[in-house]
Amino acid sequence: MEGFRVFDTTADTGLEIYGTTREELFRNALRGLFHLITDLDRIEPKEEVTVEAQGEDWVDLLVSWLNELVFLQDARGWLFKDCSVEELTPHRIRARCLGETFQEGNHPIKTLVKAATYHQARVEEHPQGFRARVVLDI
Amino acid sequence: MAVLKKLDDYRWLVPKGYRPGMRVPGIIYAKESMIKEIEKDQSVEQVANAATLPGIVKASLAMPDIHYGYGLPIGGVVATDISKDGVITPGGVGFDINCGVRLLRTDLTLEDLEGRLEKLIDTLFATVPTGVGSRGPLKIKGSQYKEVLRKGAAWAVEQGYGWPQDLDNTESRGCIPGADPSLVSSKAQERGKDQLGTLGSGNHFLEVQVVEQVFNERLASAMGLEEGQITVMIHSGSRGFGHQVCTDSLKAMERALQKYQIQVPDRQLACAPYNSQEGQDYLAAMACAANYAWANRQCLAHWTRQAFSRVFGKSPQALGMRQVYDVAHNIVKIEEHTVDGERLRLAVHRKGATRAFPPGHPELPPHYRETGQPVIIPGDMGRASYVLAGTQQAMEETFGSTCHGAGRLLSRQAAKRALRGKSIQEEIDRYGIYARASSKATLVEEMPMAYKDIDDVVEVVHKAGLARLVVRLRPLGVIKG
Repeated sequence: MEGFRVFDTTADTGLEIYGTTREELFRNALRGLFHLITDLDRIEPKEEVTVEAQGEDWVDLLVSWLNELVFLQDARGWLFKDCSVEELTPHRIRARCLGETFQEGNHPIKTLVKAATYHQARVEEHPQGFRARVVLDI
Repeated sequence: MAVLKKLDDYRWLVPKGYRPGMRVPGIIYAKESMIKEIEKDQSVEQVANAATLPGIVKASLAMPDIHYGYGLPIGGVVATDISKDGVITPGGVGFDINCGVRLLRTDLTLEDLEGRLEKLIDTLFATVPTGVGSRGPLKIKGSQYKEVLRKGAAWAVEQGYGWPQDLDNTESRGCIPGADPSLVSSKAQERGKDQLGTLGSGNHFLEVQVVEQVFNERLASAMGLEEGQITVMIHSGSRGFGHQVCTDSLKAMERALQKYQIQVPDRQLACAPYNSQEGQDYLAAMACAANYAWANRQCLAHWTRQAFSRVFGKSPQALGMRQVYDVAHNIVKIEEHTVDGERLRLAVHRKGATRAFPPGHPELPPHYRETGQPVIIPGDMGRASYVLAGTQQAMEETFGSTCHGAGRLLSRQAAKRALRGKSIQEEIDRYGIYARASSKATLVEEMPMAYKDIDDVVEVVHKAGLARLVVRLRPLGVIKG
């Protein structure tokens, strides 16, 4: 099973994200985001970037994580395929992200994500692991 | 679900008891045939949620192009009393701060365009940067960047991008005072540095149109518009700069909720009192983003004029390419309004709503004092767009606000599904327009059937008295991201 599912709202798009661990949840959030933006299979894991985000709680951290990735994509052209989470607390994430920068012709752009929102955002723990939901402004 | 109470043919009440904590009722402007669609998504709930915001006065309002957003619905208007405990909420503005619309008129007619439309659209597409990853030809940095953020459209005009009279024909003269660049994060500055003068993607567009129908000769003529004439409409905003300002501010507002002990039903409605550091900081940063957007549309208008000039071999002046007006439709502004006979200073949040000031309003330039403010309403790329004029009734009823566009009907995925079996080209050809886009996916998501019928939306605001119909514009060609 993919670690995420795309759902629709009238004007925007959301991600439902799954993970057996919290680390996997945050990794799948990254994959879901870049799946919306481009074709994950077309991203080559050529370079590595350490990315950090801070939050007040798990929901805030997840939204902040996605927004940090949106920033790196929009300002610096980064497209990430995967990451390994090195540090994770409710207040902080640090991860090594693998990917490359946007190349016209190589990377078909499907959607431009403006931001991850707090709108009905949640992170839940259940017997099989974790599930989260975030609406993205596109 | 009979929760909405019909007040008259165009007004529906969301009663104060709809949800706990509502300080005022909600009012949705719509006609009966639209209500079913409105009740389908959660936008009514969002109108009710906004009614819980501290300091909200009169009512939580929604225009007929209402649809589900995050925090406030799109089409929402919320005014808070800043002399009391009124709050400022970035969720009442949205991520694309000062997304708005600019309209240029020309002396050209349909005849002049014959055999040249494709060349014109191709030239515009080559001249105006569009789409994801597009970088503008402007590289702004250091003190120049600060000037853009402080001065807005005037900065662009000073650099030679446009005409001084464009500023007279721009809401707030293309500049919100109080912009403080030191309150904008380095991330926002980095996102914005290469994006000034770019159209963006999604629903943003630059469209060549013809005036198809004139509803009010007097108002049309005062705006320089007549039947058969070619116009250009530009829909864009503050790009990544504004998105980041909103993202940063929401994070600060999250903390402010606890600090000021404010409870909101949706975290996306996080807010702070106007009279607080967080409230003031947001307003000063939002002003930077609003000014960035006005400078952006000013540059886009300049390149539009250049492209026309190249295709028709005449100067933009000789082509009569004057600006009719430029409106913001995602913004919060400090304005004076009369509520229950009392003159109040309010923070008017318009999220997917357009200011529509009446004849005689001191903020209007002299040549629009008798007409009222031109209100520019973009539709979908197949059917139509409109120009309307502001009214006294809007001033009295909706804090001088009206609708902002067609409003989405189908989600982007649903738009793709609806097309199944047909090519987007067939769909576009059906409307007889010529379209160029950086991304085919954008064209599919933005196809006409994904939107409400703009005719219904403007009919409601016209008949409810929230703006007066002036002209209907039919699209001929469009460039998109």
